[in-house]
Amino acid sequence: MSRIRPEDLKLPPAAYNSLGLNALLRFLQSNRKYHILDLGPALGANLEFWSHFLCRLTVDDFYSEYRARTDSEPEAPRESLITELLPFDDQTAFDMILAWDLFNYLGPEEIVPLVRRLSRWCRKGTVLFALISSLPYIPVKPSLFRILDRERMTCQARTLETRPCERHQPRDLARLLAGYEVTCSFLLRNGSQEYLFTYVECEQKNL
Amino acid sequence: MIWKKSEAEETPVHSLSQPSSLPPSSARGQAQASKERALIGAAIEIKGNLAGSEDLVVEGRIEGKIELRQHSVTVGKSGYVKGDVYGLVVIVMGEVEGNLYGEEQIVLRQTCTVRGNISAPRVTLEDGARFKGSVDMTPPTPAEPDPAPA
Repeated sequence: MSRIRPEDLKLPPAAYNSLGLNALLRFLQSNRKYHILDLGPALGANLEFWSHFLCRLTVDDFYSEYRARTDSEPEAPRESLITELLPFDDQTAFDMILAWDLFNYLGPEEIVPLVRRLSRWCRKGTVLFALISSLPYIPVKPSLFRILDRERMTCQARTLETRPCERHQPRDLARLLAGYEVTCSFLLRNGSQEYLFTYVECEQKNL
Repeated sequence: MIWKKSEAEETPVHSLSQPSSLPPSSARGQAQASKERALIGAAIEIKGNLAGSEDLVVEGRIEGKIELRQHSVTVGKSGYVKGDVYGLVVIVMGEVEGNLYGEEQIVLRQTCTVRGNISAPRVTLEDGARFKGSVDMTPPTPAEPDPAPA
């Protein structure tokens, strides 16, 4: 859990039309209550947006805590760390997971156990929203994504410092996100692609 | 001074900069009916539950449940609470490890750190707040039947 510092908010947010968000929200049209997992930092705008829906929002800023731990304990097994940082109980079932640009910051050896861990709380039809960048360099920290309305979001980089991007290829995603299928994807002008994955199978829930 | 009654100058609630974060008028009305509020100073540590019938500002450390369902509870910047907090309006600027229950509203200020779940009709979260937990969203839709109480 890291704090968004004032310097993280210096760069102007870029607004864009998000077809991925629009597709995602089509899953929220029935009257039942949904459980949403937001893997980004807690943002007031997103809380405000989701407050218009009948849902339970769980916020778990996974990356900041995970990366802080891997930096301080480089030898620590990734799987046990992921297990420790995502400690939801067995009764939890997410209908929607917002990964934002998290996967751009994780290698395949980290995504596989993370997705396996998350699948523990997925059920058939759980949707996962992610942005995969094809750019060679990305900001050092994950960006801040704020939902403005059903079709528009802003993306705010927290720093001008960059690092190499993992650049996961579309053909690799099926392997990395075991149990998920690509429902739809939308290429953005900024070099990212919005993906909507749907959880289709329930194997390997033993982590 | 360990415990003291404080007047308006000790009230972070009144220093809110964002109008949207102000408690609703009914909450203000009740919370301000008595302008006094109890203050747990920064050097104070309490182990045990707290209950009462006036507003509370916590700048010290409390390990236990705080239950002031008809009054506001403010965890100040130096405040730390390990336990559940029940209040009419709950405002957090410090650190809470526990669940927050607001009869009317919960406000998480940018300086706060909260690990726990939140339940309130209105929740305000400022960017910069460190929050890990769940928020129950139940939008007010009069046409729909009332959901089970939180």
